[in-house]
Amino acid sequence: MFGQVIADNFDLFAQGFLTTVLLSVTAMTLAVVIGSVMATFRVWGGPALSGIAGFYVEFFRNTPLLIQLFFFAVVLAPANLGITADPLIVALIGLSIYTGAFATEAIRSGLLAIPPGQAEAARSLGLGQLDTIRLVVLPQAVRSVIPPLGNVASALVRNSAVASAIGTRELLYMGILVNTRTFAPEALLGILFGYWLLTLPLSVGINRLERRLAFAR
Amino acid sequence: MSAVAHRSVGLARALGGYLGLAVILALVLVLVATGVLSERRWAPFSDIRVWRFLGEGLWVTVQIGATALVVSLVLAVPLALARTGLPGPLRWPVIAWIELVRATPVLALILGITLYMPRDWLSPMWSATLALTIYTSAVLAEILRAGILSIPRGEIDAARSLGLSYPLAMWLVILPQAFRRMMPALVSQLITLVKDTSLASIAAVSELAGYARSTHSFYGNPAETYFLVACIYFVINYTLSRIARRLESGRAQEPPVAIGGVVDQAPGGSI
Amino acid sequence: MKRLVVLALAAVFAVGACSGGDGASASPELSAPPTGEASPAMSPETSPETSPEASMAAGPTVAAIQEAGRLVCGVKFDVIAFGFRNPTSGDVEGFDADLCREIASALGVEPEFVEAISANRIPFLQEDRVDVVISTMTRNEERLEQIDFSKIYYLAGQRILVKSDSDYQEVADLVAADVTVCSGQGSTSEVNLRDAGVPEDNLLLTQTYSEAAQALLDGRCDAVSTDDSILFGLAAQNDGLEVRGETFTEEPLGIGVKKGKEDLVEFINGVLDDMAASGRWAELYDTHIKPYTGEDAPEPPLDM
Repeated sequence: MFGQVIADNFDLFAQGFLTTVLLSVTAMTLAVVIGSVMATFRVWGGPALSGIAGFYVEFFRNTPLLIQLFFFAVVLAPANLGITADPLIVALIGLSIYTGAFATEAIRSGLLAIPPGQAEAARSLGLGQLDTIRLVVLPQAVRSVIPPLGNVASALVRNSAVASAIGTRELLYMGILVNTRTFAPEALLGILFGYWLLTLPLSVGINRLERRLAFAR
Repeated sequence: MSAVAHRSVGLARALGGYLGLAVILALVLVLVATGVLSERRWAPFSDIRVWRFLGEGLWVTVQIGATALVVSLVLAVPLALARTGLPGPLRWPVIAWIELVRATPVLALILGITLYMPRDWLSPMWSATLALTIYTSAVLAEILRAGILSIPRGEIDAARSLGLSYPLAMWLVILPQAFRRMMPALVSQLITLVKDTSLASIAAVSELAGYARSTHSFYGNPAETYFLVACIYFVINYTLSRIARRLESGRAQEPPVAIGGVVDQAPGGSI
Repeated sequence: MKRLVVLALAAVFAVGACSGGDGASASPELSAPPTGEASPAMSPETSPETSPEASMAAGPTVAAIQEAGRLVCGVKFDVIAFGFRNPTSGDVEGFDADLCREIASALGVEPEFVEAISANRIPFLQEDRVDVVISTMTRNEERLEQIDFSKIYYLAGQRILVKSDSDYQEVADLVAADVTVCSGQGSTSEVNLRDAGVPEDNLLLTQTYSEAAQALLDGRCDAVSTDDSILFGLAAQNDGLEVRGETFTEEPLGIGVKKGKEDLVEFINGVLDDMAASGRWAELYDTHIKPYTGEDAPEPPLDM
């Protein structure tokens, strides 16, 4: 019966699916934190900070995630830096750093989209730099930043599959595991459905959000 | 800042990422020379033959990338036109295909196709290329669609009024403009494509990442090998992104393209 | 049948001419072909060779390979001593790779190498992507259900890796000296060590074997123990380490062939027998394995 393979191994698929969700949510959160810091450096930092942040963005955006994960897996291992041997943690760190580079650009474009007049007006009213950012710039930035960050999140969910290459037991890993044991192509369909279940609603949600935010202007 | 400082900063900006890379590599050399980093593990890379070996892998990467790019571009045109031009119900399969493919992890596509492709049809290398083509053509179709939709209605009306049929109007007037407008986004996707070729190594395709694995297995220096191979990818993709930025600033006069999320391809780059 | 004998004789002459050994026996032993018929559920495409008449025909698989002019071997590209790519020469080298070359030259065709990673080597056989798999593959019950194996071309097994200046020779020495032994987390090697008498507390388990080698060099453990095929690589990459001891587990390595290609299995067995008799097997051992163990070639394990 079609789908029998998936039903029989449902616990494996479920474990993989949940790991993917956990990985994506946590990495996205960390990526946004990293991205905010780096974007701040880029927009308001001096030449040194801006340059370092810029190089971070360029290096981690232009190199393959797979190579980065392999690198981190070795470097973080007990024999070297001794931070972790768990593939899930390595994947988390690697995905966060990789996605952080894209998040930085998304947030930076959001920050730059705010007319400078806003900040100038705030300053002329007597607000300090920090307050200006906090009360005037940031709230507007958040709105303009959500759509590109949504794309980043969607890409992150798909990129999390690469973590299977270092042994992280997420959805693709578990699906291939089932496929190797049972020789059933349906296992691959299970993988596809799992990812579509996550990414399709995400992209629909992004489109809706964009339309709503566009109208608000 | 003084004039000298200004010029230095300007030069630093112009060199950009290349300068940063040079600084890091110089740092590595110093650390190896002073013994902080293990010389044994870095030493193989002083042998030009190792670089030639990696170059073989790089050549395969180029072949995969170039083929996938060209075929994807060719396929993206009818896909984009179908999605914009076809009447209602006929559009739905096209939309479904594009959206489902875009929602799939590239690695899953590569593994799925290489696992089940009969040997007489395609080798693992070309199976992986096929997978990358399927994915890239869907993404490029969306990029093209954004380009097409951004062109003012007046253009196609004018073309039609001159007597051009819809297909000819598309081919001669609209598509060339759409291409030019979306060039930065297209280059951005090319960068993603180059990065994704590394995923083929998981399906036992011998491209750059696969050759990297052979190298570090032989010398016992995975971290060092992966770092330097990452630098190779960096140089390629960073150069491409600078070309994209050059194209973007050249088109600064055009109104911004703001359709369905594709706009972020330009500032953020494709992921 | 006649063609097969002619081919086997040709193999004998070819191998004999290469190694300059005394004239090897003219009739290589032919092992009884395995009787498994490929079940349709296993292989996606049933090739003509699965028909019952095939085993009596004059080697259709061999003939097909000769017509194609090449023998496609699935070998590892990253296991030192057996199947690896040498960055300085760009060639695929190792014991397994050279076996492929021997068989190919016996067939009169060119060898072609395809990377066989553990996950894809059996599927590659079943889909006819490769003609043979020679990739440190252990013959076991589970695999025998899916594919056929040639005679055993190497008896791998678990051994110990120690510093060259240490006195430990066997795993029993490690148990007696109550020292720390490194191995891979969750591996069968770990289980085998415990079975051999190493107490749980004396085991230092790492994620990868290169980490284990580093621990050995640092002095955090006194030996690394896993399959010798892996230990050779560690010895190659780190100065001052040696592989020692009898194998205290048995991993018989065989050449994998798709089910139903009995003539090819027979042919390969013929080549292996000739290599054993002519000393060619020992030569390969000396070239690829001896550098890491310092020991002379044992008897070829073919009929185990």
